[in-house]
Amino acid sequence: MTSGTYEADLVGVPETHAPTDVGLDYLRADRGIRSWLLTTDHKRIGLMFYIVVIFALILGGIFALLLRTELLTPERTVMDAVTYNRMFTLHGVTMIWLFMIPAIPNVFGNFVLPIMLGAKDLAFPRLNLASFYVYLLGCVVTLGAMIWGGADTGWTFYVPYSTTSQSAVVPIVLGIFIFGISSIMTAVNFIVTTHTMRSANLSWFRLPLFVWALYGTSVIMLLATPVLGLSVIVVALDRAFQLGIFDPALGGDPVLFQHLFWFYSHPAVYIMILPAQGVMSEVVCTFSRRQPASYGAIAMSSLGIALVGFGTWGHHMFVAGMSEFDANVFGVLSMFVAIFSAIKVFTWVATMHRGSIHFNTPMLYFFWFLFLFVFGGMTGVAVATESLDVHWHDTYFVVAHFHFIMVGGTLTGFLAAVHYWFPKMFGRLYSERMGLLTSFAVFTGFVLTFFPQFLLGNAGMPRRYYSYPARYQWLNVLSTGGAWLLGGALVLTLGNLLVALFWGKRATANPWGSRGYEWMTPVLPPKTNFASTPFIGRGPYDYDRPEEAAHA
Amino acid sequence: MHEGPLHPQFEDLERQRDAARLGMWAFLGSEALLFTGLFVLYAAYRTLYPDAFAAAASLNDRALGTINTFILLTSSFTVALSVHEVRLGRARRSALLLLASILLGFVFLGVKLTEYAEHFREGIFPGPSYRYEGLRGFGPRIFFTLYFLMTGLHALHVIAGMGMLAWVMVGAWQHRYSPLYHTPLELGALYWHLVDVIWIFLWPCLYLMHA
Amino acid sequence: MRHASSLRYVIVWLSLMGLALLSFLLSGTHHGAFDIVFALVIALAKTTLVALFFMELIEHRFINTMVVLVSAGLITLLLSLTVADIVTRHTFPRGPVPTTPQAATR
Repeated sequence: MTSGTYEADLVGVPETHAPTDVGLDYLRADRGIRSWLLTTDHKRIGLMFYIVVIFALILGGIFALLLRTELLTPERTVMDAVTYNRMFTLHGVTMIWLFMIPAIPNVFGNFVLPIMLGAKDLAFPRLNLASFYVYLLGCVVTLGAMIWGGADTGWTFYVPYSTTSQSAVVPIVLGIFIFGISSIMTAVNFIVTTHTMRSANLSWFRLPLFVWALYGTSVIMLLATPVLGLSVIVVALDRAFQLGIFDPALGGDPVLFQHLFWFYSHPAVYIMILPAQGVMSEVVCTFSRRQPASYGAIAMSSLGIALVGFGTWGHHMFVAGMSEFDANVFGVLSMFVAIFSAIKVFTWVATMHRGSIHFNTPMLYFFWFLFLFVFGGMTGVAVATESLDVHWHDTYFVVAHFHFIMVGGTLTGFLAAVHYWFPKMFGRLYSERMGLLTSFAVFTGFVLTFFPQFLLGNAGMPRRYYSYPARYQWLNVLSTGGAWLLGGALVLTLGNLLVALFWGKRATANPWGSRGYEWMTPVLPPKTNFASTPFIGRGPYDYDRPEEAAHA
Repeated sequence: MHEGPLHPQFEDLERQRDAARLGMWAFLGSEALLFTGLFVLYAAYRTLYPDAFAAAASLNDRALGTINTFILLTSSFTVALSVHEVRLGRARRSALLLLASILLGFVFLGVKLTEYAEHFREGIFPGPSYRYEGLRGFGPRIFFTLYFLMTGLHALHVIAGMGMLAWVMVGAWQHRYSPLYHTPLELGALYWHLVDVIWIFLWPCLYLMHA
Repeated sequence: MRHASSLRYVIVWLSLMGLALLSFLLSGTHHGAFDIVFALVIALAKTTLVALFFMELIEHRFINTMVVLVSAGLITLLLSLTVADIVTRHTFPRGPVPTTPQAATR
């Protein structure tokens, strides 16, 4: 195909006559607070999620800093033991349900998914808005419960403690149930949109890899979340009516609660990590100027992780009294996730091979992600090994492992997405120098916080303890110092982005030279994304085609 | 004959209808997993207390349970016929069939309440209030706690389904649906069938597998 | 659009009622462990009928059936691995349950 005929195939709207044809950009298309609060525009809903999610991250981060400060000394430092127990529960609940679950799908998925599909909006725009308000209601209920006194059960709400604890368990689990409804709404919307809203000629295997990741995520959200909803509602009913359904003194089996809880909460890890992997697939291709080494491998391993991830929940329960047979099955199934993850890692690395690598902030986050995800993943394989888990279970080793995956994976993915799509969302450029600097600081702070925790755990320090023997103190001091560094780096990152938001240089439509479909829209996408349904005549990673052909 | 509204984000009516159907199916999948949590508890505790569960199941009235099964199956049938009728352009008949389905839903709930009342009279309550002398022990207590949770959650879904059917019944009566456009009616019907399918599994678990 | 005749719905309805009656009658006579098997097989058969004909999966796009298959697979997974835990739990045999003061008050 020559570049002349190729131009005709490109995504929709040539920029020359964009303003008259498609109207104002999405930020200026409608004015007034009402036009925001009642909007059905997926981009504006994405931004509203963005704001709440950032507040959730700050809140969860403050909890984390207070916890780490308390652990600076073996004795009381800033809070008493009861407050400490409530604080780590609130940290977990806030970071998981208020921040990590919605962070990438509801903010960036909402913003770019329809554009990536060449659609005007999601299939059910009003459902999308409802999902936001349901999420907001969940925030209000959960935060209200925190003010009420909070719970001291840990974010896992294990029975029988959660059914006997004197703290405000019921309002918090109700909040989590409400978050679940919001998740399911979004999942239905994304799945249906991916199936029915693709523009003509956009086949499944031309979808950007981020779409595959969101699709896998949505399948998990759709089918795992109701089981969590049920298990926490049973806990709430048990507390309200003393049903005793999990009470061993009444013939109940508390391990059954763990089965139901982890049937959601293990796949929930993939709700958090899959979208981050999707972001990274976009970032690595854009900043290496290369098509992925294997598109199919990444796309299929997203689905593979989503489905196999459902069969691994029992590895949280090796020492809970579960049968050895089940432990063996779950141990083996857990290893399969490592296979799919490794396929992705190798494909990303191979993509960079002979690529023209650009060290922009998102790419730097990709490198951190690569290291942290591999490290966290390998320790995951270690704790999925039954004999080793007996030693490490409920120690700081596990805490370090899942923070490597969740913070090292999801947070770096989130920050990469924040920087990568910043010009498209706000039409301005952030300071690359500050971006790189804060990225280094985030990584350093992170490793300093969590690497000592591996050593702490291996030396036998249990998680969730208020006090510890003095010999663990030097590692705890390192970890606390790292946490403050990480917190400071995140504040700087936010500052850099806020400065860019108001005073940043005006961006062009495609500042990274990406071939992704979302970069084909004007600097700020118009309200309906495209004037008419675009005809997409090429793949999202066609870096072998000449630049002028890819950008009409 | 009208084709219904085309929402601006869609290219054509067929895709819009497919999207609505897939959205409903995805939601039904989610609903099925919600009930699965309770079925898992039931299956696990039945494995732990097989005899007690069988004995407890025989305290439920098999005849009333079976009558309720016939009622729900028939209501599913009338709902399916109602979709069929609206496709033939007979919206009023469709609305009447929906009315019949809603009435059957009321009968189902009535029978269920009778059963609850009988249980309460005998002292069969969920959780700590269980005080039926004829059958003691952990097993029966857990069975009846699950019985009330499962049938209670199902009853909530019956009520929600009746609400949806009532909504589309009014629409059908007012000729809002045509052979070309009746997606809301179809979706309401799908939801009602799910309520039926869940009962298809609750019935043998709670009534038939008895001592 | 092609319409099935209303006869089809009547046949499916009668089959459902027949299967329900069969299930009811079988539950009156005991077959040991097969009681549960019969009841569940009949329930699955009824579900298939409802899904295919009342819910019209047979005429819808295949993706809708796919939702059902994936959900059914996950339901099977959750049920089987949880029950397998109970069945194969030998390491810690269930001993006599201690009576705690808490249990007495409940």
